[in-house]
Amino acid sequence: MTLHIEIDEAKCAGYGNCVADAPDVFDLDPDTNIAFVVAGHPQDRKDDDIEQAAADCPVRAILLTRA
Amino acid sequence: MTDRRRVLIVGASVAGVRVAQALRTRGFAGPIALVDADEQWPHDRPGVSKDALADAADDALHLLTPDDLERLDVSLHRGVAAIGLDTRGRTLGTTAGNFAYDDLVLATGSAPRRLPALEGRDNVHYLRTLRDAERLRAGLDAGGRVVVIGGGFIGGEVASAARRRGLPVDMLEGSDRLIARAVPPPVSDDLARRHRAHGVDLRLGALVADVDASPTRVRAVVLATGETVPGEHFVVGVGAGPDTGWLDGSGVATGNGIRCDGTLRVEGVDVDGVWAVGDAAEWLNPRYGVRHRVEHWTTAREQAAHVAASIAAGTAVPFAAVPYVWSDQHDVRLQHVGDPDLTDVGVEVERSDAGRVLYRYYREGAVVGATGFNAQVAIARVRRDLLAPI
Repeated sequence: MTLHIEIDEAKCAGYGNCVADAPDVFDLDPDTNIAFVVAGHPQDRKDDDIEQAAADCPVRAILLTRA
Repeated sequence: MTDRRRVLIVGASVAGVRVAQALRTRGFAGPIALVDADEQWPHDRPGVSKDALADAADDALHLLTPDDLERLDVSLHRGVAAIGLDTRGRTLGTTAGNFAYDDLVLATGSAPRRLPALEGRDNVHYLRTLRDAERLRAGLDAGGRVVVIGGGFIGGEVASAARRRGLPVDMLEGSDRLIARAVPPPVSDDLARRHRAHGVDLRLGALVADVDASPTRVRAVVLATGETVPGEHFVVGVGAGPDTGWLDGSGVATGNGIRCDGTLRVEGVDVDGVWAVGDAAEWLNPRYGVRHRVEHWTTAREQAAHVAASIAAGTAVPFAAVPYVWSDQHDVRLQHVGDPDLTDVGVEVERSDAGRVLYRYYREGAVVGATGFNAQVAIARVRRDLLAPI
């Protein structure tokens, strides 16, 4: 089971809670203030932080799916 | 077994609901009950003074759906107020009878401080719940001059919403600068300039001394200077405090809030298995070595997740928080992060061509906090660095 992370860019407003919860997975784009998933983020990390990040998004812009 | 323990959560706002969710995420399989004094469906509060004043998309503010609740296997008791606590018998007394628990989480929040002189009038507003927002929205829809008493985050957001509708706004702040407890003077000045640029008639050092009112309506407030400020709507945002009166005699220690140790365990006489989270929790934050309450959404969630993990694991470890808050006022997102005490910091300001402004706070050469106006990226980085393990 791998975790797929999708960011709804229309909803994201750069609150940055995801960056605080999982700094090696999420960052904000300096041009747009919108969150993105860091390329090649560690695959072996625990999913807890990512789930926490999704839960802590004030506008629920982080969608997680397992495949 | 830990998992057979019954968890009872008092308060179904962001902190209480998050405890329930995080318990399940952590694999806790025991019964969870959530009681809340409010009849309204559990809802999120940041939007009450933001989106809910702009339009009626109230469903979007619900913290969870009935389906979510069923999936979480949490029993929700709405309109049930806590009225007493027997910590030895591990029983919560409520308006709907007694609830037994093994772990009790107090997430009772805070209520707006009220101004007695204005009490009971139809055109006086406080802002805490969706119902408050609906009522204020209806008032703003009718038009007329808005007098905002208190220049804090709530007052600033209400003033913005009213200006966006083109209504005239007076903002009365008792202190000589805005959000003085949170930020250094240059940031207060910056925020004040922004309000004035958006047409808010801001008065600093403006203390309400008297009121000109009929039994049903306030016509004007009278300032200590003698100046009269008339209006159609009076919105009071002068801070909030937790209601801990119902805990008197329970053995639970209360002061400015519900007193907790560094792990968010409630202190007191014969108090065991009781935790507090959110606005009401006055805990010893090991990050700063101070006992304080933090009324921020993000901190409430962090505390909730922390306590849920402690209950699920049967442990208690210190909870260190770096406070973070945002506020949407006029055309800016204001964000503030870091040390709750900025009285002795150096301030550096950085302005970008795109209109982003970042104030960084230093102590002994190290960044201890920052405030940004539309500086989301910079704030996220400061926050990340402050949170990084040393």
